[in-house]
Amino acid sequence: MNRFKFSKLINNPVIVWLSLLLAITPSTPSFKYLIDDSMAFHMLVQIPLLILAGYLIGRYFKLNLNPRSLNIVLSCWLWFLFATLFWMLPISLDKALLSYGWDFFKIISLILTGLLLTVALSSSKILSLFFIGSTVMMLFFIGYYYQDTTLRLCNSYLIESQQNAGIGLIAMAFTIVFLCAAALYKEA
Amino acid sequence: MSVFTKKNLTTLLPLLVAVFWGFCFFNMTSSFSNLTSESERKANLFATQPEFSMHLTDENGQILTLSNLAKQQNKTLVTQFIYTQCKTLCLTLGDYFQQAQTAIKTQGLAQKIHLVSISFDVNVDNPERLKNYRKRMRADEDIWSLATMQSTQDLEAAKQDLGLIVLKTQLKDYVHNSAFLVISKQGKLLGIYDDDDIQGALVLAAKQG
Repeated sequence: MNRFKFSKLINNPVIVWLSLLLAITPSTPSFKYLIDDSMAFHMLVQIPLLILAGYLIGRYFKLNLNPRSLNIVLSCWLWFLFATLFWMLPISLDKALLSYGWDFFKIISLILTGLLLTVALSSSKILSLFFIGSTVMMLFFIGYYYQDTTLRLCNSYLIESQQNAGIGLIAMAFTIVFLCAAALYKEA
Repeated sequence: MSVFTKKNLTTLLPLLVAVFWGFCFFNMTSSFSNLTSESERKANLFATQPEFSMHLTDENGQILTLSNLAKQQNKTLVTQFIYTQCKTLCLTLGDYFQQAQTAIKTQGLAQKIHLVSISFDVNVDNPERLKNYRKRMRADEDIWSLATMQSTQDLEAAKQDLGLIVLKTQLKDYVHNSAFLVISKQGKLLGIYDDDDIQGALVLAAKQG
């Protein structure tokens, strides 16, 4: 019953387009201060929201293509892995703030990541677990480094902001593990 | 044209994705060498060799530029960026310069190396404050010069040309990047050292003729 309601909610067009709007808003000049001031907001709110918006759009348009070819699924997962790693580099975060070109690329590439995630998740469970596992490890290690190091990695952010983002990334890694465990438990 | 069959294309797809992102990483990190913008800044400084033409005021109210100071002193300059009200990083930077001053004296390098502290707090720092800072730091005039940028324009120029970054914190302090720059007698950039490596900067400066 509960699950039925949830899937109805995320297939609601209002929710889908709202998520897209919310994800893009922090890149517009008048709301730029949100990502300018807080690394955590940039990494833990805007970037995941962009991926989520892409994912919801993909679901809304039923973009799972029934991928029979392993190569297509693998490509989607590779894209996901590379894109998330790319947007966790300190230099990428800095440049997205300083250049509209990179910020535009950030929006497009991450929405596409979300779209491809729809395809990727609709295939083999084992493959999904493997790539989600890799992403979780990446989140955890990068998060650990960000909250641990005394080096200020982004010129645009204060060190406190970097430490908060690091703690947030670790929390996100654990949340994903928990969600995966819940999903597997439900299926078993 | 039989190479471009649907099957071949899907086989190549993972490779294409890897190549695409490889290109993005390559582009973003200037061929995998800079993971942070600070290291990119340093690499760029060497490549562009900026002119140190920003206008500074020293504690006697005299106007000077870094290139002029280097020629005037006929010594290799080691610079750092500070603001006199700073309670954190600049104090450490000041300590490093005090140690450097002692090292220069004991090793007889006073004719070779000159230290310069440059304040970027254009609205607050003035000759008066620089004088106080000199007293506090017990800075020797023959070895250690103090100066402040003249106007916000000079600060902007330093941000643009030298990649200086200054952020205001909630307590109205500043956070700033703080590498030591080593500048030759001719006003050329010789080296950039992290804020914990004054020793490296001094060794390089001492090597110059």
